[in-house]
Amino acid sequence: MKRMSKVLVLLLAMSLIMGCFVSCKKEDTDEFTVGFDAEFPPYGYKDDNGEYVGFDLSLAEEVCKRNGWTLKKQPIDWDSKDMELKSGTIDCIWNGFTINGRESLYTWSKAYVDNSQVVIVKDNSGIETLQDLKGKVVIVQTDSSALAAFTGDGATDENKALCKEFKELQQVADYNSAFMSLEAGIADAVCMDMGVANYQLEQRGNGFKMLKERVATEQYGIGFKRGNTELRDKVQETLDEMLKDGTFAKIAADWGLSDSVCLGKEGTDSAYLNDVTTKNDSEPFIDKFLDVVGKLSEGMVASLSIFVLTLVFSLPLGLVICAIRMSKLKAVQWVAKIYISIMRGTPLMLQLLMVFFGPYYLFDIALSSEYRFYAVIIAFSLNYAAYFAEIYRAGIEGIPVGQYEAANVLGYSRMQRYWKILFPQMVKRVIPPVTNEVITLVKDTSLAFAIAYTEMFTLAKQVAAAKASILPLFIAGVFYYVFNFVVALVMERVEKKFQYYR
Amino acid sequence: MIDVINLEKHFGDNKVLNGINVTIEKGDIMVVIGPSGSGKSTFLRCLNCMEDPTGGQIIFHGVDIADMKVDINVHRRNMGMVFQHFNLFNNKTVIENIMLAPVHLQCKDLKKAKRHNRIIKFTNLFRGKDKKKAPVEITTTKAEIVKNARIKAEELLQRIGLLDKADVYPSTLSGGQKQRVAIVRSLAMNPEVILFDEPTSALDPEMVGEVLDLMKALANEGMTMIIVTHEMGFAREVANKVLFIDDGQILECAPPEEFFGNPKNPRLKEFLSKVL
Ligand SMILES: Nc1ncnc2c1ncn2[C@@H]1O[C@H](COP(=O)(O)OP(=O)(O)OP(=O)(O)O)[C@@H](O)[C@H]1O
Ligand SMILES: [Mg+2]
Repeated sequence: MKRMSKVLVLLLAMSLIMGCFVSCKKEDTDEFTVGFDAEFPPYGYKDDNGEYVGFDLSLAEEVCKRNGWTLKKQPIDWDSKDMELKSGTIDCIWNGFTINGRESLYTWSKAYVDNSQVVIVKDNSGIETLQDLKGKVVIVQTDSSALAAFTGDGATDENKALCKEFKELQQVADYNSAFMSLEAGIADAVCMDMGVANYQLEQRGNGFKMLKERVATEQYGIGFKRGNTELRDKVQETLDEMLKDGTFAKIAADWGLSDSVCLGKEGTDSAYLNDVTTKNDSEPFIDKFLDVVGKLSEGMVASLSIFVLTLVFSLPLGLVICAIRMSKLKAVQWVAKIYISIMRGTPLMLQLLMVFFGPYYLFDIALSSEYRFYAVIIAFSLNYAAYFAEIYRAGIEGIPVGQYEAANVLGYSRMQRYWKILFPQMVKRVIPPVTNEVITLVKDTSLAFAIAYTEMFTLAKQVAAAKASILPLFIAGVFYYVFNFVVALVMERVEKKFQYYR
Repeated sequence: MIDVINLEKHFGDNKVLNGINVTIEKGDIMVVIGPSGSGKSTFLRCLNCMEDPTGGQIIFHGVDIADMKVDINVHRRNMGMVFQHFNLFNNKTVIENIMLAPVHLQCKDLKKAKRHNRIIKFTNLFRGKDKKKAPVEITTTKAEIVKNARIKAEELLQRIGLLDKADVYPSTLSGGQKQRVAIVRSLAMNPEVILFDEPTSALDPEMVGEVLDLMKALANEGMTMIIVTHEMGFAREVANKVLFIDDGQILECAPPEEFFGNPKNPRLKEFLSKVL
């Protein structure tokens, strides 16, 4: 009987898992999944009602309507767009997607928007020309065409030379944090597509201006998986149709992009016609591997330093907070209680943002670019100290009262009782929970990406995007695993050291 | 030596001690018995202010140590205490357990003397030639203090036959061994009186004897002891005073022959008939 029920449960579990796979698999060919970056207005973004809207999505909707497809809007992480496309989780990237420099990576539609790269600075910054950007901090979005315009293979020599003279070319994940950095004085200029720039200026009002000079000119198209000409042709046909009957122009006008659209104009179909060439990818694996490791080494150092510095500060700070938490005075206790509950009750990512942007938005203090790293360490230390404080407290409270009492009757002073008896016993007790926390910290270092600090994981994502390869992510995984393995090994040693008494 | 006058202790509304009056003379072996929850431990712990009394006085060498203003640490050194659960320091070896407190104490005195001399040296700069003060004489060093403490600790361990266990950690000892170490640990402070709170209650029966033997030996040497215990045989043999506490009051206080042979209080009679 018992056996029967076991088999039944097993079958049930298996069918559940299978069901999951089947339902996850895309069998419904009538669905058209558009991948887009949800923070790229006006092409695709989340509006005030929480809906995904934008020029590109409106076009996609119309295309789907005419073909009898159901449109699925799939916001994606820009860094992972190639993996999404290759794995088939999205059908195309339709999101102000620049053709220039990516001609051979995708199967392209005809260009439908002509956009250029422009630079936005603060009104009162005194920056007027591109040459004025020398010695300044310039922000671009990760893997954006602005970045390509400065450092990509197709970048002009002029731009490359200019870029070398920047104090720093910083990559951020989204334009919101780019503008926050600009506002806070952490950066001097943001380089982005003109369409985006127009929209941002309109939204953010005064205080910013666009330089007259252009960094580069470029065109947008719809990117399909390389070789998927069938789908591309269907979409292109529909778009041409829409252009003919005026729907395209109307949608463009709705989004204020009448000046930018270029579908059907001359010189917009070079990438579209060019889809026969295949990229040869014959670099030997070992070279590729070493190249990626080399690129990632900087991130490894960054992650390691976050890890080490966080521990250096948070372990003792936890002790201080623990002492406050265990104070005899109720009012003092509450200070620590509130601190701990906030630190444990809100996401570390949010705390990072608060520490980084807080000084500017709350106290109007101008921030320097170096502050980014300090902010990471401060936020991590404050957060982990709260956890350590509670671990220490549990450790101290777990020590039998007899140990205090014996110390008291032997006339020990408070300090002596603490340092000779309680502290060493507490340390022994807290090693296992502290080990857990430390291992979590190794993985948490990746959260520094929230304020665009390029540690290991962020860098791996950037390299993966630039190389259109999963190898960097795999190497990052190995790095974290080995890191944690070493940490676990060390902590085991420490624990053994304390095994001398029970 | 110790005069307890009208001692009271409340935990919130719970009146545990209601006016205890007793005098302990030097050399007394006083055994305290009573039913569970009657306040025996509380009484003992009030004597060295492990619990702060809520009323009454404890006069020790003419000082009321129940007064919150006195430095209780100074008086505690003269009052050893032995616990039911030994309370040896887990992170210290047996000999460290014994040495630590005396070394700490003497080093503190040494530091004080040194600081005192520095101040004298400094103030002497401003004094006239013939008015200079002499510094106090310092005859010892820290190393010497540690050495002497070790010698004394080894003697004590020798006495209880545990010298070979000097460098092990307490968790490896048997209960009886632990309690004997705990007793000599308090002896190392040279206390005038030792308080015992049920020192044999946590022990396996075959280990009770070795602990009681050590206590008997101490009694014969003239140590003043106050002992809470359920060992009636020990009380009859060793004590010179036996107290019966119930409901936070002393209901009977007599020499053992009278206490056990001719108890007067009806509650004591009932208690004895149950335990004997
Ligand atoms: N820290 C405390 N807080 C509140 N109540 C306490 C505290 N310590 C003891 N009591 C109460 O005081 C009373 C007497 O306790 P005490 O430990 O002195 O009894 P006892 O005579 O030693 O008993 P036993 O023989 O079981 O050890 C009990 O009712 C106990 O609940
Ligand atoms: Mg008790």
